[in-house]
Amino acid sequence: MTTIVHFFATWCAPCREELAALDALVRNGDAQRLKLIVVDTGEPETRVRRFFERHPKSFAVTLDPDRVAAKAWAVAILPSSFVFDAAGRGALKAEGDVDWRSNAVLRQLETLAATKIKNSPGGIR
Amino acid sequence: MKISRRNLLSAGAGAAAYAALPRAMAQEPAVFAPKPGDWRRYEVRTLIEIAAAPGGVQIWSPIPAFESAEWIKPGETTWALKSGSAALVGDPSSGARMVHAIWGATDGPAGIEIVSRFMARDRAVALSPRNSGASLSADKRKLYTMATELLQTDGIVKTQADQIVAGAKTDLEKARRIYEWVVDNTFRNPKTRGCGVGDVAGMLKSGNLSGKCADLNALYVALARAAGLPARDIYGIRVAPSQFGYKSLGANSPTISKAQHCRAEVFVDAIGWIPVDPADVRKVVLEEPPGNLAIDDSKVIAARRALFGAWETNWLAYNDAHDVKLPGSKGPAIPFLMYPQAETAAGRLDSLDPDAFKYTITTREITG
Repeated sequence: MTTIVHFFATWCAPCREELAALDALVRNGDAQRLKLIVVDTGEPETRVRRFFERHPKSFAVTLDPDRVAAKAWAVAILPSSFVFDAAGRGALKAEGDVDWRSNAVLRQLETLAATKIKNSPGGIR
Repeated sequence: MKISRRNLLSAGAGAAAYAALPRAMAQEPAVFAPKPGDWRRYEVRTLIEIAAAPGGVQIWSPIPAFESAEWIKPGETTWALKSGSAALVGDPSSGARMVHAIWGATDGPAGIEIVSRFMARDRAVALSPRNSGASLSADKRKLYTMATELLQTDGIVKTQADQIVAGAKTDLEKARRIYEWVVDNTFRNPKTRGCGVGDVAGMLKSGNLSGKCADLNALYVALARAAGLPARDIYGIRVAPSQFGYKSLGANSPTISKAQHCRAEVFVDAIGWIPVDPADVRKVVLEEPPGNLAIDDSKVIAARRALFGAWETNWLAYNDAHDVKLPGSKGPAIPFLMYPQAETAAGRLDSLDPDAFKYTITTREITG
């Protein structure tokens, strides 16, 4: 299964647009082949909840109110995305917004999903 | 129609005057020229009302804590509440001061009215080395050149700062170059919530140099610090209309719940702290009627000229604190303390949403 770890904040305009595209990607794709972990960065839970009440999505959101996770992942700008292959190896990374509906991005994800996993030394790095 | 020589001359003179009028009006320069004058006294009331919550409620509300003999003097802060308890507290590491109030699980709804008074007057700093005594201690210089959680001073921020000040011969020239660069390269984004976040490195890396005061003036401070100049954000709130007629640069209603504004200062030896506000130049560009002014509009030019070295102080300065730890809070430190904060067992309330929070801030000038 391919895993996307996506960092965002509700105040970030490109993030808001990208959340809708990620939602569509998950809903339209094969849920067995794609796992999405969405991390809100540096905001209180009440603000995040109110945002998703107004803009509901199908995925769960993880909170990182003190930016500990963002620092650990060296997230420099929002949004940022990390894509891991089925063996948990970091394969793709994007700083800034990504058009998850574009053919180029979808092809990259398909290629990654089709890659045969021989071993998984080290896991996620 | 018979036209006499006398009427023709009269009409001619009138036409000449009429033709001249638009030119004279067009050439009328906008005036934005704050300078030290009379002290003005203000009162700011913050009313906070939060429904009772399991496990109780805590609030932290900033009070006037920034003091300068030249332009601002905090006064008394009092409060009234029907239940719970409150105290004046400070965050020793950042210097921020606030009212901290606590309601237990059985205390009912949280409600408090906080009343703060202060005096302020406009500022204008002579931008020529004149005061040989103006210098910072080593500790203060370290404090005001250090990085904070969001004000990065190395990496891309340092690289950008070095490019901006390359070739500048004096610290004053460096400070002004950074000011002009921020004015020229950023813009105010009306969709930014509150005053913005101030993630300076993220702004530079993404190339999205838009936002509001907590973004644009933080960018100024971070670039200045990266260039070795002591600089600081001062977080506060607008309390009165602009006396220079700039609608975009004042509080135009007694209710100021969303009128928070932060400004910046940069320190130059032998001059002292220089007030700057590049974010307000971009606010004039976007919002000053009729809106979307050209950068060479006379109102923009006047504001741009003044806001390196002068402030109209129709504004309350709360503090210059970064990375504020709220005493008694279970949550993380906040990047700055400019809005009331509150916490229940379910977590922090959204300080950028006064209507849901809920808080109301009002102001009046005390005269007589």
